[in-house]
Amino acid sequence: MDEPARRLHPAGVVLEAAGSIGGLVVPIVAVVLLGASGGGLARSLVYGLVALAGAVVLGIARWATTTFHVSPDGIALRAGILSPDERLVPRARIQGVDVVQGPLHRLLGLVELRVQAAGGGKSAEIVLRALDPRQARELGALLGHPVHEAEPDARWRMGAGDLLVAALTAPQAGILLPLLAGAGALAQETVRDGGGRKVLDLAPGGLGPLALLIAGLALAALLLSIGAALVAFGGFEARREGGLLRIRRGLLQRSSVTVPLARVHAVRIVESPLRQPLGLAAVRIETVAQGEEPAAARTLLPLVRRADLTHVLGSLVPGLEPPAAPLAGPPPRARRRYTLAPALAGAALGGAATLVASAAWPAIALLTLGGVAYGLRAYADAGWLLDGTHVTIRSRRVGRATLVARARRLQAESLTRTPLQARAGLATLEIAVGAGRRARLRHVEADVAAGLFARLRDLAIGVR
Amino acid sequence: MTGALGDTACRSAPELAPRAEPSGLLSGRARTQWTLDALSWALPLLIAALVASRAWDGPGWARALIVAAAIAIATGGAIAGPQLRWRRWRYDVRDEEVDLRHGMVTVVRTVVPMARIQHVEVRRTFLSQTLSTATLVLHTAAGAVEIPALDEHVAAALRDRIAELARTPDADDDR
Repeated sequence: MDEPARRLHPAGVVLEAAGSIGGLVVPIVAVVLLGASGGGLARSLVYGLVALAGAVVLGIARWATTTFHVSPDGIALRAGILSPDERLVPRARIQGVDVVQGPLHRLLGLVELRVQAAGGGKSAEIVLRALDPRQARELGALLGHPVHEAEPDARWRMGAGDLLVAALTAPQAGILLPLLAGAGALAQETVRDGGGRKVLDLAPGGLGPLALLIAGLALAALLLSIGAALVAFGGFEARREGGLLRIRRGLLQRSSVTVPLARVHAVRIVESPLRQPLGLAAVRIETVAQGEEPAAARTLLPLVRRADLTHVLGSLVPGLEPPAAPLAGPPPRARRRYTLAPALAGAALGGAATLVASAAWPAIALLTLGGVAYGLRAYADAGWLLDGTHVTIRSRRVGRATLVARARRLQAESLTRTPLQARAGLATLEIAVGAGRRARLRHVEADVAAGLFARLRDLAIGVR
Repeated sequence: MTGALGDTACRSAPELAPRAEPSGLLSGRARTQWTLDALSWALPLLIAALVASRAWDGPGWARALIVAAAIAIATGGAIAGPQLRWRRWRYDVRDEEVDLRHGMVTVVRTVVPMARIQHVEVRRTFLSQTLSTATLVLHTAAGAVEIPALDEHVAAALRDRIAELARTPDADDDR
């Protein structure tokens, strides 16, 4: 089928111009300010208008030089003013089609269509910045990735309460803890001084304002965290329509990601230190298309109760739910290998702190013990299971992460033995899935690791 | 699929058909190449140690120790290291997978299924060109693995073979 090259929606000029202004905003402001200080308001207005006109001209040029061509074979894009780039994604290589709508898009009633190909991050993606929603649907269908929604077979929505809890337990909320600890320490200092010789340090100009400042910072961090969660996950919904997985999210910029289920190679269940004690987790999907995208774009469930995981994942990504059977772990003699390194690191950190301020000497013992506790946790958390054609590897770095992967889809695997491991008959297995996510199973029995390595390799190359 | 794993959960070491360890060697000139590569830091190190021992007016044995340590590190890194590294490197390119084993101290065995390889690259440097060696880089969606310092014609032949094998699509073309 030969059809003529198409252009983006004419209102795309506005989007392109806005994009150019975004890049030029600093010089424009500088010029306008200079003008205002030098020759009055009129001249600065002229400068501003010239910049605006430049952006519009640039926008028109961009729009006029962008064409695309869709056929049953795939999609081709030609874009660029002076040196046009041409990019082609064959239909069979399309990993997913995403619809994104920023605030300006919504104002103009347009959408942005992103066609994802495997690997390569940005360069493997075709972005059509301004399309009529109807045209976007038509293109999606033509490329075999329908973007219009059908009746879902399974659906998961994020409630307002979930959003708040997600914000409060987000990694960035972690900076609250040291701030609060600092405020607490200051408050204690004040009280001790008050009870000692210094009578009142809470007076204006004392520590009161500082504590207030810290409390203010903590509040600001909290609000920022809530804001970030709202922007990223407002209106979050994950749904499965037959063999298609569709994820919608975002408050200001709404995006709708569509991924065929077969291209989800693994899911990763992440229990961060703030969430694990509350029985909460987040779930990400691993595909080959998302190398350089932010974490939010890979999120399948921003926040889910661990008790609901099996049920929710079983309905959204059948086959990739965490296994019901218990995982096998490393042997008891591996325990000290897990604990030694963090304990030494803790001791070294404490030692360094003591060198800086000798009063910090208790930190040596505390941090060493902390290291041991962490190592024991990491040992207890490490585990694996090969269940038919799915492999599960659980490990801990900061949080606890459980990777459930289709063994047929492994990108690579490696088996590592340090001389110390060789002497103890242990080994470390690492697998890579999707766009480079790795999972490591450390210090397991060497023959178990070798057996798993060989089995995964057979599954990955299709030996039955 | 049948056998020890079946469709049920299995956590013991699965039975496996023994498969050969990789056996291919890198180019013999890899050692020369790595030695010359290492000179770029080993020579400055030696010179720095000599200058330092001259300039410093410490005890004679300490100055001698500095020079001796520098010589030991330089010869270890530039001569013994490349020898050992070359002796430990093994690779195999089979129809269905690329199999690597390497590591001077820590031994790493890596397998990349052929169907996952997206493209192949032959990388040369000025030095490797004069020695007629080349590095083969295999790119997958999850990153790249390298087979360093192959004979140039071997690298070219492997590139063509892998490119041919990797083109064969997967059952349902989901990479």
